[in-house]
Amino acid sequence: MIQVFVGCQPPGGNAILDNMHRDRKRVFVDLRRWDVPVIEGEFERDEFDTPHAIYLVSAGTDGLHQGSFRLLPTDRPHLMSELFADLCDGAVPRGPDVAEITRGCLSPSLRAAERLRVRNALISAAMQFAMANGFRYFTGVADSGWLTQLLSMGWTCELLGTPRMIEGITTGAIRIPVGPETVTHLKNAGTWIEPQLSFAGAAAALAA
Amino acid sequence: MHHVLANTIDGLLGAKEIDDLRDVLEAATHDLGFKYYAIGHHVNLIGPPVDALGLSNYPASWADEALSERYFLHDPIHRASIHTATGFRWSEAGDLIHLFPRDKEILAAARPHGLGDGYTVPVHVPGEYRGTCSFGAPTLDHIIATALPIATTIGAYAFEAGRRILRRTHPGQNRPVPPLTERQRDALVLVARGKGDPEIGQQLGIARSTAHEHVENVRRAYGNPQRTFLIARALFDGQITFGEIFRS
Repeated sequence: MIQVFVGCQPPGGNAILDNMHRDRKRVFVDLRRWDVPVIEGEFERDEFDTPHAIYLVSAGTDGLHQGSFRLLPTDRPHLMSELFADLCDGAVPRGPDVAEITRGCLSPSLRAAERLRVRNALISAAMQFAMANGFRYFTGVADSGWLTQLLSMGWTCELLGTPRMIEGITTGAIRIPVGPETVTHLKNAGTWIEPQLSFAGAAAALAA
Repeated sequence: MHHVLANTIDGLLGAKEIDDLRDVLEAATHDLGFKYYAIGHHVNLIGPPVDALGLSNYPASWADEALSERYFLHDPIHRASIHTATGFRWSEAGDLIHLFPRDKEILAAARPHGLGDGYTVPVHVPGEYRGTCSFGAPTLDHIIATALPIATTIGAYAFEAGRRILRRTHPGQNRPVPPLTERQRDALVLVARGKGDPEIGQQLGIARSTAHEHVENVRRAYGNPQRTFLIARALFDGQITFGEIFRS
């Protein structure tokens, strides 16, 4: 099951989100060596983890993080507008119907087949969440490996400019249309898993 | 966006047949200042499976030599591509893997065929053969300034275009990964380590008959292949990994 959390929590505020930030540190800092902030030595959190960020999280019944995405509203500062605007030929796409998808993270503890299932469940949930909430596009900054994955999942990736070498890795800005047509592409690629979205996490987070 | 990239992506995603991909890649290769391209999955070229992609305009003289000398069996560029997630120049392959004398011979043998240097991008998606997209030329002195990131991006879209066409022309190849229980997977890893039912039972602390039952259920989930093929299949689709097998 995929849970939706609206707004980040301070460390200790929510066990599932804490575990997500711990895995993000393991994946992005320890494994991929990104230069991003680490809080209290164990949580990867940056300036975009704000009350406006939305998290889609797959967690086990034990609360352990399996995988997650972060969606950022583009009418506020987000990764592409603040750090990668020069990857876009024109203006950075922004608006109430555009969400930036960032920090796609799968737990390093997952086994290979599990990783594929969790990834597919998460991207199916992201699509359903976006359609249900009036979004028409996802945007994102993708390196060549992530672009390959996105394309192979069946997502239509429109490049917003010519990708560039950033620290030796080809990186580009993309836009992905959201809608029934994309769902068909995901189904054709064998990626679609009928989503089971739960907003219980969001309600719990807001009540906390 | 750079016009070569924009035109190439449109051409790739609009391609209906594999032959259309050849034309688009050929044009892109020349526009970027390269001479040759090769894009495909790493499979045995003497008998490639039908769902593998393999397109290239490498000179026939080189393809013949590579096949007859069986260079492709330990092609240093393919081997280097497994050690990186990003593109690399052939002249830098020695930074990624140790080059044995045989590797240097292969690289030197390619030079007279116009393949003096090049750029290779690994393309790896779980559940798919490992692949690469390469662009080569006598030297890389004449490629356009932004050729490398554009070549990388073209590689990603070319594979996706190929996947879509293969899906249409070879439906049914895209089998889902069967879900297994924790215990079934543990048993499968032990099968891959060459263990028989008694040892599997012993290591998992279960009866031999239960171990046998787990393995049989895995075989059933995969459509009853023999154990050897079962392992190949489960490694291919990511159900188990090499790391799990070799971990002591």
